[in-house]
Amino acid sequence: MSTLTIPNPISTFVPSVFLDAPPWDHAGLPGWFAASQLSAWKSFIGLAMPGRKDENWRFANVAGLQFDTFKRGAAASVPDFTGLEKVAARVVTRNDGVVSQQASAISGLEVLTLREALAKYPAELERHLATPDTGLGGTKFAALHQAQLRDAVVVKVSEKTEVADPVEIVHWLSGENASAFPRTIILAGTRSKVTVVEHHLSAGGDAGLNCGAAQIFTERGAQVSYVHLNRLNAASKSLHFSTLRCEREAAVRYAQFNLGGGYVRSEALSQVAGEGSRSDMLSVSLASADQEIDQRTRQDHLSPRGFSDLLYKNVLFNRGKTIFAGLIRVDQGAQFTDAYQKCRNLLLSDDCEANSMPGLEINADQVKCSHGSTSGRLNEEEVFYFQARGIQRQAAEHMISLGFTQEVVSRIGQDAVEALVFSAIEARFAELKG
Amino acid sequence: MILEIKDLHASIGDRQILKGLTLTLPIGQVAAIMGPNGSGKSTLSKVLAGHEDYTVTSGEVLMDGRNLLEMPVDDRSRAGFFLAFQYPMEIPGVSNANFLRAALQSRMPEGEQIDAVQFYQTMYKKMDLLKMDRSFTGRSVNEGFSGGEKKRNEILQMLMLEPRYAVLDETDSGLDIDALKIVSEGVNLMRSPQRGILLITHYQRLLDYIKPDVVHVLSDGRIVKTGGAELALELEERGYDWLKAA
Repeated sequence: MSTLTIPNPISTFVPSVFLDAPPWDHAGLPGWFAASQLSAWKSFIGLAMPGRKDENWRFANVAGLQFDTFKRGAAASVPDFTGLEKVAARVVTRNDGVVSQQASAISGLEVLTLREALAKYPAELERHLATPDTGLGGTKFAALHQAQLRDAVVVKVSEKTEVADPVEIVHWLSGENASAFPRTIILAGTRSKVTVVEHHLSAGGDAGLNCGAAQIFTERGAQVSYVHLNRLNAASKSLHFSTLRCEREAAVRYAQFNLGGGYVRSEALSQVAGEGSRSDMLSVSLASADQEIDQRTRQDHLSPRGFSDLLYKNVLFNRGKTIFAGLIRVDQGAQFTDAYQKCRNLLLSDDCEANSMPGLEINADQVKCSHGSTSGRLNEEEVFYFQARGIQRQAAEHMISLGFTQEVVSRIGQDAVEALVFSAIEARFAELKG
Repeated sequence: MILEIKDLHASIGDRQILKGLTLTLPIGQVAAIMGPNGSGKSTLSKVLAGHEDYTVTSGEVLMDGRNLLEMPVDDRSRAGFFLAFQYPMEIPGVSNANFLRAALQSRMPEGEQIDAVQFYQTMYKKMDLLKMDRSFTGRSVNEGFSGGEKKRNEILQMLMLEPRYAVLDETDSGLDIDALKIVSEGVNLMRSPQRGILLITHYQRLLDYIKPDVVHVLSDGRIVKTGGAELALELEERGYDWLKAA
């Protein structure tokens, strides 16, 4: 199982550092999982690199997709980290290895490693542990993620279990040219409720590759909040693939905050699959210097009476670059759909670049849909109002820009999480301004 | 101590609006400026506050001897000048408490922080005077506020910042009678021998609640008449045309 003949890759990306992969031990793991990893590896090798003309990579700097130098991360120490004060469970990993774990003491909530989950819930895992392909362009890298997967955090909430405090997951990337492939799988039972807060951090200034995925599965009436905080260093590259599946009457809130990373590509597919289900997708990204933050989304309405809302906000400093491409797609049968999508860019410099590509594809006739994108500078009348109260221009700009992000943060819906996210945004602002 | 406006000429774009406005506001005085639409009332307030759309072509404004027009906008405020906006801005995502706190913080010496407990106590006391609900502190500045709430908020800011010279630009416009009474009470509370207040208004109605010491009439960019409180009543009866002709 540990040797594999690699066909000639049709790509400029020489996966040399991963050539010996997948070398890990599949002993004791189900055959289907080993097969899935090997087949993902073949896909990764076989799929072409994205090109400039590829619609799903429009405006993207595909030259940034150079991962040749990255390797499996060696163990290194991990700094202290203060996250949420009250949690239902906590997992800390470093380069995909669990460093510490505070198990759940709540009945009905399980936070498991991949091996534990495979042993305990083989059938569910077999259904859900596939390549996290969003269909938004990054199939090759989703396959890389699947093939390189060493561990995962599986959050399983049983029927009618409401977990008050969040589950916190902390992923460290540590060491020179380290790579990690963190995966979160949330399985929310009927009418259950859970919040998962996930941090992605660099242990130092070294370059790293973070290629992760999150998958959210719901059963009827489940409510899931997933909050993703990317605070990787500027030398790091991050690719992330999220899939959300909202079954009947379920509600999933997905919130992504990109406060770090040099090259960031994030794809999120939300399937409003069950009747009367709801999806909220939220994001704040701060792009500075030579950062590129590239976000692609899709709100897929598959059943009647679904609701989805997306609000992505970008704040751009100096030479920062962002890309937003979002599609609302309403299936023929998805009557009485309400779907909204809004991307707003705040440009704080003359050299930044914000690209927005909102889109609609509606195949049903009884729907309410709107989408839009705006880009603008600070409103001078607002700045004047602050100044007229004695507040210096710089402080005014700072407060107005932070206020711009607050609309998103306040929709997370949990005070402790909102406070954590807001202070992270504030800290990043201070860094960029200072 | 006095705010002196001397032969002020100001324009917006190519349009000359203030054409030699001269006016003094001694500390301790409450004065009203009345005038028809387009006479330059709002231009005066914007010029005093330092809005960049307006160009001062000649004349000067001295605040206790300091050249107000040469000061940056935020300096004017910290030096004791206050403008209550006719159309206060909405600032999404910035709470009223944080806004007021930043305004007070800007007045502190470098390295010193305002006392948070004392700040809230003071703010609550002043909000009570203006019959403002406590939930107001957490709401975004003016966002989704009614016209009356916005004006009340301007008065709260004035109460918190305690300026030496305050200009209230049509603070009465858009207010129903209850809101007008509350706002007027707030202004009357601010009446002090240590403060000059200039009420800019189109209507005499506000002056039923705030009795001015002096009434100035502004017409075509100049003060054309100055009198006592009774002048406002006369204007109410006779309109402005008789002054234009004069």
